[in-house]
Amino acid sequence: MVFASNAFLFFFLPITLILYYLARKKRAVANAVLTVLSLLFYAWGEPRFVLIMLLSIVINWLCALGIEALRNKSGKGKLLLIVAVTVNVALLGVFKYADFAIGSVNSLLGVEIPLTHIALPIGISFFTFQAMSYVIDVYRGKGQAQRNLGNVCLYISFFPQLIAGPIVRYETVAGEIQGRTETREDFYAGARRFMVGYAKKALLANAMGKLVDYVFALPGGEMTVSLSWLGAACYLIQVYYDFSGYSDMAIGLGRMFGFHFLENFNFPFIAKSVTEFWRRWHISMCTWFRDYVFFPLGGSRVKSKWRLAFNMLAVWILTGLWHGADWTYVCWGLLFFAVLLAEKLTGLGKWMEKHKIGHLYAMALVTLITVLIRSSSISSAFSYIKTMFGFGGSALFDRLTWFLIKEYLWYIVAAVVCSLPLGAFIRRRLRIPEGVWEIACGVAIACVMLAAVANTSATGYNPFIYYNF
Amino acid sequence: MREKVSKWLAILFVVAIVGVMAGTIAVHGRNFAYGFFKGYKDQLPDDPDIFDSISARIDRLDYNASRRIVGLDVLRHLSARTQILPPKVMVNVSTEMARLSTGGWINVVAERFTPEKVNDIISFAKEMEEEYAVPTAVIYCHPALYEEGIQPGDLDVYNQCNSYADSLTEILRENGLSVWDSRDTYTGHALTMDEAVNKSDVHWTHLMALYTAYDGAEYISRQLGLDLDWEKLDPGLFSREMYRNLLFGEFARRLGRSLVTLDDVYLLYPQYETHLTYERFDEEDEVFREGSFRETVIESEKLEKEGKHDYSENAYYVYGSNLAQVHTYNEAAPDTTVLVFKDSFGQPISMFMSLAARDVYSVDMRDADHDMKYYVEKIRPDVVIIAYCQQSFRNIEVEIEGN
Repeated sequence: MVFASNAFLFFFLPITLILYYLARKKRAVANAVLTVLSLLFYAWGEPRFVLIMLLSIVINWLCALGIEALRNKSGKGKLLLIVAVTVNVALLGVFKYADFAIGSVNSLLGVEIPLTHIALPIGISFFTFQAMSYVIDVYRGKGQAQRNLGNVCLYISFFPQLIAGPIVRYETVAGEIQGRTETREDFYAGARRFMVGYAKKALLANAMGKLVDYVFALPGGEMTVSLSWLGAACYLIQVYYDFSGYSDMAIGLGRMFGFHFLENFNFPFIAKSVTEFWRRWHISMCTWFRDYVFFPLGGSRVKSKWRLAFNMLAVWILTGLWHGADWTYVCWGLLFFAVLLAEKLTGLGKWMEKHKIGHLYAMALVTLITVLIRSSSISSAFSYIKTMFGFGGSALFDRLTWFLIKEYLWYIVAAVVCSLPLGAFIRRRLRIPEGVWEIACGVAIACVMLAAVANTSATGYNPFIYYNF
Repeated sequence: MREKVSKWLAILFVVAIVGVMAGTIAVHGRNFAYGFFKGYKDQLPDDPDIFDSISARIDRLDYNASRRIVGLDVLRHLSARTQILPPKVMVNVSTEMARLSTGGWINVVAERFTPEKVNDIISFAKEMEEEYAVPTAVIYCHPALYEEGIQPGDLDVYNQCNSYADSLTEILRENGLSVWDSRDTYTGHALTMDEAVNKSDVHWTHLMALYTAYDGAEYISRQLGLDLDWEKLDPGLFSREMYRNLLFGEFARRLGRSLVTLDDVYLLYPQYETHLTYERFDEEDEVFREGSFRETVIESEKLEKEGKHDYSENAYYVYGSNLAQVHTYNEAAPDTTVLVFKDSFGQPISMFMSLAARDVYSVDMRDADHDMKYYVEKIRPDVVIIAYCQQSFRNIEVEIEGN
């Protein structure tokens, strides 16, 4: 089930709110309500996959209990941690990467090993990473192992962050699973945040998606330089509003039930270097890889530049693969690795961050690299990128580009304005009193939420771009 | 102040979602319950397991939730209104629509046509010719935009319905199929857009369907040397009853009355005497009618205004049962058996064909239990006619296994 749908908004959410707040006074019952409804939420896509998630939960629960019990017995806890991580990686390997690996071997060696055609469980990367976070945090002593299987089940399957993140670390919510306090202020702020996220997804991301689908489906011969840049830029905007919209909805929903998730985006489009961009984009995933992969490998406090490069390479290959089992994702990760390494070693990143041209530099590079994950293959991605630079005799501009710009003008303007931290600036410059400003914001949120619900109900166009993740 | 505003927003939000849920259950609860407890069985595969059953029930709930919530029409109209901000000319209502300079609304076919889309139909036609000596002909039903230069702004660079139609018919002809293109009917008879295209509905008018059936039957008869009495389809031999301001099609209902006007509907039936039988030959329903064309083929109840509305939603479907597998028998027509694979555009064409051939079988593959080849083997027709609009060439499969 996706948040921006009638089934969720008008049925699942009100029923969950009613049942949860009826059971709120007994924490165990309230958690059980959330867990059962979260499993139902997950089953909405494909009921069979609930069994896979439950298997993952039980294994990680047992391993965490074992790790805690063996904490003082040298080596044995670590062995269990390795078992847990191996099982999680194996789950990902079987369900997400098996066919990718077989296909790659087939192409490389010219053999014909049959593909498994195993369906990809939605959100498997998100819940597997959360499961690993649980056992690793227990191993590191950052949280206690849960005796109660239901609590682990709730942590891993909690519906707000289940299929599209943010990746919630166990240490972040360990205390809240059993000891949270639901306040009216949290509920109000959560509902407000949810509405903002819903509007971002339904109005801006979906509108951009329409344009992007059209442009990327055009044959190479009909592309122009300007159209290819328009398509690529709008795809980056689509991914941002889709992803940050879902994150807003997840964070808002979490607050409505008393949970406090960490922020996942921090105005990434104001970044002046690619390094800064990644400090502001998908923060939960970046910090996950930083804390569970990069730091254990030695991080940046290593003696040789080669070792630093290796550590970063490992992180970015994994980041690419995490996003999708395809060479386009691997290539996407490698390109970001190359740019980030260059920024780090040459000081280019720091220099750019001090100059205004850094905006243009960062956005142009991120837009270019993001083309890879929208393309069906590496060759089509590079063919698209070639068009962006006018190779192959593409025209600079045409009537189609002008038509699309006019047709999507308001969405593009709104998307750009809303991606920048302009609120405080506008209020200050126009000297708008706080009360008037807040009321205006409230009215605006109510209006865009209504328009967003109307849009999803009317159009039926609601792409789910995390399917690969 | 921020807390106060958030409080009122949250209250509004909760009241709205709980209100819509309660209202929907009150109004459509029976549909939801039927889908969950009984209707889901239609979607089960052969030999279903427990997960298939759960999955099918969830699908039905999801389907109902997306189509049956209280106030859905209001939301759709609001969406249309909020989308048409100048300079925007298109409205997204599951597919895209665009305002024509003539004031009506018309479906925009945005999906690109590629040759691969018709490969299955070409292979099917070749196989039928080789194995059963049954030729296949195509009546291409152009969905919209018969005129050049009527699209607003630069829309013609986006909506290439006509050039896609050119590619489609060219590929079919190159592969040896006899193809009649309804655009030739439009120009050949000097029809106007008002005569050819409904404004409130994605479908063409019955008049356009009749002219196309007339031309198509003549063309196929001459091309393939078939005995079809195409002269019986001459629109000059038909009575016309006009129902003013009757049709309000599905797409227009998503936009609202303030943006789209109702369509007049012409009911066309032969002035000459006819006698035929009409029966559904699929196994589910038993429908049998005998009498004149008007008494058997035309389902007049669809011309009535529905419920509280001052319009009919189904007036387009007045010619026979859409999605049904129908056999008509006309003793007075030449002894020729025609198998028509049709979509909703081809529906009236297949019914008009009953006047030109003795046995006409019409099959809609979207609701069929077998693939196309099965029907040819079973019926052994003298000709197969595929009467599809552009979208159907993209979307309807030859090998469909039924729904």
